[in-house]
Amino acid sequence: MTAGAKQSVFLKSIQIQGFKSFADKVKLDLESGLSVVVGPNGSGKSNIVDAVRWVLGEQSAKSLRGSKMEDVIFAGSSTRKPVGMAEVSLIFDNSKGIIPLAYEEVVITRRVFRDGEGQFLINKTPCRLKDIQELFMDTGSGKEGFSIIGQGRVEEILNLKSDERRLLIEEVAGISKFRLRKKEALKKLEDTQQNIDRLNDIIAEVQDRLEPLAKQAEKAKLSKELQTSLQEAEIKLIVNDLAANENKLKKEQQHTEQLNQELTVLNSKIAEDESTYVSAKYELDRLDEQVTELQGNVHALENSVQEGNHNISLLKEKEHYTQQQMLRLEKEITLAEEQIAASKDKYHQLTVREKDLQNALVQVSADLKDMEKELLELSKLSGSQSLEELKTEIFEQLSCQSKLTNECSELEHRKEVLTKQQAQWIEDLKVKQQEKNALLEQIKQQEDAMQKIEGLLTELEQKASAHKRAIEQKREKIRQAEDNTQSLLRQLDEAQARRRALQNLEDNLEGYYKGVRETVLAFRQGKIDCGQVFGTVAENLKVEAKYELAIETALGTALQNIIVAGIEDAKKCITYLKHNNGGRATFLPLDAIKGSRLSLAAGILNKQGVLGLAVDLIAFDSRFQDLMEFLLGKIVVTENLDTAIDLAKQTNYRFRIVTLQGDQVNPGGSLTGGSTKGQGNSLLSRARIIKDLTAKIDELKIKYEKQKQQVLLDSKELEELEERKRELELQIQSCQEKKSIIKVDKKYVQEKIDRWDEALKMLELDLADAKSQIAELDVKIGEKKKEIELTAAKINDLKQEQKILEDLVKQANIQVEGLKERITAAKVEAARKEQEYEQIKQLRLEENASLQNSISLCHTSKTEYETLKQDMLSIVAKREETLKGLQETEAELKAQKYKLIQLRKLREELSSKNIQLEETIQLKKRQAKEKEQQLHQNELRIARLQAEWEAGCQRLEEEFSLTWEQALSFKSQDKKEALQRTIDELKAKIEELGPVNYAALEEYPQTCERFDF
Amino acid sequence: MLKAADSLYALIKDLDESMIKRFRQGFRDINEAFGEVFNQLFNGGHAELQLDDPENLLETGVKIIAQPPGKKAQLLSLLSGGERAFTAIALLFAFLKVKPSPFCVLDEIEAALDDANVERFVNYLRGLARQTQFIVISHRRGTMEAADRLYGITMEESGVSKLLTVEMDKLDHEIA
Repeated sequence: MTAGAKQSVFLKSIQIQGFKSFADKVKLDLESGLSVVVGPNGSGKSNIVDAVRWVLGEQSAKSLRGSKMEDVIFAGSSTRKPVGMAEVSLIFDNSKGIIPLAYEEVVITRRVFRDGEGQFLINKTPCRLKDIQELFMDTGSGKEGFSIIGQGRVEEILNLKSDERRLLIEEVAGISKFRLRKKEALKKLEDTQQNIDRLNDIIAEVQDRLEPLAKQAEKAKLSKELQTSLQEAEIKLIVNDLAANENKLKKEQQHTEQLNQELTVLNSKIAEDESTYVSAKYELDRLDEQVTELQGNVHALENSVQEGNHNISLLKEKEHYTQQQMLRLEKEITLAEEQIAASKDKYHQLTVREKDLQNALVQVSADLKDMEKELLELSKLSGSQSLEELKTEIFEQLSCQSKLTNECSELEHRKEVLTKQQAQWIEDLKVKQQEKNALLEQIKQQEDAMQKIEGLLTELEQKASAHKRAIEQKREKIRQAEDNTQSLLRQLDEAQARRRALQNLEDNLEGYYKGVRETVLAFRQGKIDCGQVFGTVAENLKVEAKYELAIETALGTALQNIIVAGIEDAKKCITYLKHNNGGRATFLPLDAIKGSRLSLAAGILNKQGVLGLAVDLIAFDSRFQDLMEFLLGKIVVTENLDTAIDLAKQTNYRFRIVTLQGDQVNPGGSLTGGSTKGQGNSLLSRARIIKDLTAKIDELKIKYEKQKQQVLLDSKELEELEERKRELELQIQSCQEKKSIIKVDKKYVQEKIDRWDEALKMLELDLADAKSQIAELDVKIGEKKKEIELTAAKINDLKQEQKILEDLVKQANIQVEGLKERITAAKVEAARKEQEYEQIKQLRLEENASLQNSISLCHTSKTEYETLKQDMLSIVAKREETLKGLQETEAELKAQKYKLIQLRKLREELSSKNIQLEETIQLKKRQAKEKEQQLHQNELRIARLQAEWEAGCQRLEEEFSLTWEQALSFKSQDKKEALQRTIDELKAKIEELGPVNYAALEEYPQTCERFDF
Repeated sequence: MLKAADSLYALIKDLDESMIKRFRQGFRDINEAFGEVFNQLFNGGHAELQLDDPENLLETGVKIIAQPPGKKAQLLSLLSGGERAFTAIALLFAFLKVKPSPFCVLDEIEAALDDANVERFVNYLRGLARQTQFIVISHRRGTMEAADRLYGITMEESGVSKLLTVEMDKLDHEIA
């Protein structure tokens, strides 16, 4: 848990707000060690990864699982509103300086708004996406690196093609940059190649164009000359035109000046007249104003006169109306006073009647009360109430009885159930007892089976141990036999090795002199071309082992002599040896050698210890008879040296005698002897030893095979034994299994028995319980039945009492009926009286109301009459005042009307004078306008001439680059028509030349130059 | 102009050479790391990257040969699903080893592994955590058990994620 504790944190925290499912601000503080993010599917874990990727500059909305960048903003849920901005910040600890910025802490932030606008910030300062990418480029943690391994990235690696996988390795190896640069270089190279191609094209084209350009240049030169003369003519024409134009212009300008002077005089006169006219008009206006004012005054006065008249008639009318009203009111007052008197009378009568009725009503209700009292007493007497009580008691007793009966039957039912159950339990008890007995029987059987199996098991185990012993014995035997086999094999190997070594010596003729070896081997290999070489003497004779030493001694070096067919052959062999520097050898040619035998007296040979002539002790091919006699025919072999010395003495030392020990007595009496070398090296014995070894090997081989066979047999037996042992073991195992099964079964049955015992005990207990319950129930039932009888008796008594009471009640009821009828009649009477009283009371109240009404009406009318009288007085005063004002106003109106007539006359005169003045002004203005028009036309003409002159000058400047002053030199006396003709001719000539490439004039020398380059 | 073309040719040749040199070095490093990581993750076995065309280092593709313990070497596409995923993880770790990144976010990359492999994955991750800060998103118990800190994301309110933090060390103390 603390493995990474010392390691520092690089990414300190991740802050997410409004990004995908993180609607609220979430801060993921990372600490050292392994951080693991967990949560159910769809809870938004991967959104954290997306957030980190996003901040590091992910541009593809698709890889963030959206369709456009705004989709990363929290889009709202069923209970939440969408937010307007997504923001994610990564906070890095940069104390180690991994990020190339001089801050201890670096905060990278990315934001996006709903309108699609995005922002990147480094430490809260806005920056570009590229800045962030550059920041992380060399830290190995950019979004392209392996710092974010998303879901499916593993699958991606698996599914990549092998050349795409290469790109991953390139990424790690940092080759991508190089690949980019190479791409650029290739593109540049392509561009350069294209440029070179284009250059080649241009050279080819220039070559093609050179020739036609020369022709075109010539034509252009001619054309240019023509153009120059045409230009000259055209200039002359233009200059002449322009000069004429200038003259005309001067004349027109003089005329214009004169016209201007005339116009000025006229205009000053018009101005004078107009000022006079304006002052007259002002006077007129002032008069008009006075007239209007006077007219307004007259009008106002007339209006006020009319209003005064109208007011007077209005006041008169009002006066009349008021008088009428006063009359009507007087009448109304008299009428109301009469009515009041009548109402007072009627009211009084009604009050008296009401009082009478009230008294009668009191009487009737008192009667009624008495009668009701009587009825109540009677009803009480009838005793219906006690009857009801009795009935209730009877009902109660009945219900009590039925309840008791129910309880009794329930108890009986319970008893019945218990009895049934008891029977059932007794039955169960019997069955269970039987089952238990059966189980006990089963256990006995199982115990028997167990004993049997255990007997069998002991027997089997004894057998198994016997087998085991037999197997061990067999194994021991096999091991010994295998040891034997091994030792035999070793002996065999030794013998074979020895034989091989000896055979090798034999084959290579080891032990022979060099010359002998050379000769025999060369012959065998066919290197010597001769008749027959039979090999050495040693090779061609066979000796018994005991004679070996004697014969070897007898032969001496002759053992190594080579037997050949003839002398010639011997010669050839010697030549070969000489030639090859092969050493020396002695040859025994068969055709040259004659053998002779020592003839000895029979006595000598038969003497004790004398074995005979050496030649007789060996075996050889018959053709070598002579040879062998030559070598060994005169040598006697004895058993020992003493015998030999004796023999020699007897025979006077005439021949050689050799002993079996290798000593010899030479003719003449000399003796040779001593120890000899080891047997193996002797040439004679070698062949024999080889033979012996072969025989021994064969023998060993047979022995070995036999032993091996034996081992095989034994092994088979062992296998059989083991097989049997295994079978036995299996049997034992199965027996044991059976035993354990029986054991388990037995245990199971025992448990069952125990359970049955338990159940039986329980049943017995239940039975006892049931018995006691039944007895209890019996007692209860008896009690209940007694109670029921008691209740029935009570009910009977109560019923009799009820009958007596019912008779009494019937009589009382009849009396009550009569009284009730009387009461009803009295009640009807009382109701009628009451109704009448109510009516009268109502009438009285109504009468009183109408009386009050009349009094108030009379009072109102009187007040109104007083008011009208006051009004009348004020109206008369007002009328007189108005009449007086009217007379004054009429007098003033007359004076004003006279003044108005005077003023109008004065205005008429002034107006006619003014009209005359206006007419003269109009006349003068028309004259001025005509002059102006003339002036305008003149100006237009001047402008046209000036424009023509300027156009000419411009044409000179543009077409021929000449100013007017320069062009004046071209001025000539030529006629215009002549000049025009010259121009036309020149133009025709130029036309004739056809299209001319003037560019050729310049292009030709340039192209030449380019081509040369 | 011809001179410019010549110098461009020389530049491309230069780039090719250094690319070959880098690729050879990178390939060797990654291959070595891959073999090592694979061996540790699978607790035996052997894996290597092979070039399709060793003569042409500029273009050659790369194939993955993996031999989980007790099986014969075979191409990635012939392995079982879990082994394939684990092999790919080994390759990713090899990349991280050759080109260490200061932090690394792993999003459920071990989902296809069995429990024993998750344990080895986590052990290896803890080793790598000394040079790289890991943020692992996981559903696997084995990974959670090895965490120093657990961050739980829940969605109590529909559509809105919430964050819970559990610090394993502190928890251990509390339990003790």
